[in-house]
Amino acid sequence: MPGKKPDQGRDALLLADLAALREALCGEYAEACNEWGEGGGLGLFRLFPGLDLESWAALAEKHGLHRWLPLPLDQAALPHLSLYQQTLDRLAYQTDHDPLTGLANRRSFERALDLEIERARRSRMPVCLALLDLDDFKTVNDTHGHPCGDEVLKALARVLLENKRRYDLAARIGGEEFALVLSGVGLVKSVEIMGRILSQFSAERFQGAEAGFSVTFSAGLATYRGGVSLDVAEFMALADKALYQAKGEGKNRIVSAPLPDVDKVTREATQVHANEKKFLFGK
Amino acid sequence: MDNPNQTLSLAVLSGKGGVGKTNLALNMGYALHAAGHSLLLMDCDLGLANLDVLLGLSPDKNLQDLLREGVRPHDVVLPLEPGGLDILPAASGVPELVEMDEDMQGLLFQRLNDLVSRYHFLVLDLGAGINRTVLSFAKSARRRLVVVTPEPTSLTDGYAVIKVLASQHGVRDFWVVVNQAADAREARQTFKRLDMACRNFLNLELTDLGHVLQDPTLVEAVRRQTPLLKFAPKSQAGRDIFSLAVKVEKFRTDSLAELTKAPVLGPLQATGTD
Repeated sequence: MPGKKPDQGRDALLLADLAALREALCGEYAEACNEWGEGGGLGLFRLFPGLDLESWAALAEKHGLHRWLPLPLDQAALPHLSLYQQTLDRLAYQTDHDPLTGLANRRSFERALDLEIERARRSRMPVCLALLDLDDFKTVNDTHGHPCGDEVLKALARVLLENKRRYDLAARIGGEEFALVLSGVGLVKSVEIMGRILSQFSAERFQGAEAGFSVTFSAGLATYRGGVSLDVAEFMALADKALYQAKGEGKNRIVSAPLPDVDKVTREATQVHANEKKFLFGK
Repeated sequence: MDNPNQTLSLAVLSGKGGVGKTNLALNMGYALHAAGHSLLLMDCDLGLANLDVLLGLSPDKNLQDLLREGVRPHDVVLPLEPGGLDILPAASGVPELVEMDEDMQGLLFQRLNDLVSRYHFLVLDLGAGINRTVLSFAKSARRRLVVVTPEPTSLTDGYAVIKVLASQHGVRDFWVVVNQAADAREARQTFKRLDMACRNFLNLELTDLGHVLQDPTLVEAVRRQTPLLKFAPKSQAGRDIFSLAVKVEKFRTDSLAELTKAPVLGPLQATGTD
């Protein structure tokens, strides 16, 4: 009977076969196993007459064989193609999202921030970057355990999602470090928004090992208005410096970085200078 | 045809407020009308319009209404004098409209085009300051008339608006009128200073259109909400303004062929993004 019941002997045979092939290939041709080289590649086929998709999925899960592509030969292609699609969707999501909180991850955050900087530069509309860092998060983990720490991370993610506008980006960019990109928002308004987020988050109560507790965060804000050229790293460094200052001043607060492009607000090119005034006043 | 009546659009601007810009625009309108021309006076001071106030009018529709569906330009225009001296009033106290973007302005020009091309002259009375609306109306008109007084503040602001239009928008031609001058000598000196600064720093030459001397009759006319050229056409300021109008009229007569080539308002040719 093909494949309906677990077949220990068959599974062992299959795995041994795959392991031998993997060893042979990945020892001598390690590059071919890991990288997409130029000029195509080779797919290796081997028929396993007794195996169906269901059993293969179980096997792949158990032994981490996700890189092997099953191709059923005795039925329509649709079921297994949709399986590929699901896998691709899952991988695409994982590429851009933090699995614990569902927020954007660092990689997609940096990509979005780069676009926002470009937009601000061209349109001269501000963009605000907020870097958030949970205060004394190590103590939370040490005192109440990591599952409890995870709850705190998820709670902050929820508060960020609730308070941001649809087109703002909330991201988890490190263990206890989050970021918010506020599009079209200047310094004054962003301080207001972050203040609201901080007070809402610090009012959350968590159930710890022994007693309830609450957590705060510190945030550094930087605003860019497109006056000077600035890249992602420089923008991050500005906000990070403000964050560092917030920590130094006692945590649980928001500190704004100085505007990087304030000098450019008065446009050099069109200002009426002293020597021009001399002509105008006949002196 | 783009401009069937060879309408000359003239933007009147000053940088500084309170230099008599609106009065000058209004009375030039009366003078040109007296010379037999049709003319539309458009209040482009979208934040703090006062052309209607100067005339004692209280219009119920204005320029901004043109942006709404179903409002026709002819519903908004008010006749000042029979025979084609009309005004297009603007609304006061609508800060959102001060910074009209290019889409809004494009729509406005589109709605206005049929209307304004019926007149010989279109005079745009621009607001004070150097905001986006002032700049784009100024560069959309075929000619610009910068009003200054001999005061240093007015000279500086007048120079500033010329500098921005020249360096950021490529506008090179400006007519200058010195208003509220004590005498002809002071007027000449004022023009010369502004012209020297422009030659030295902006590499452009200004055109001296003339001057209007200080005249108490003008103050009286404003108080009575009656245009000077109607109230006292033979006064000193009245005669000065009339001679300015004669020069503007001559310019139009000399450039009829050129005027037919482009629409009344809008860029001469499509330019790239700023």
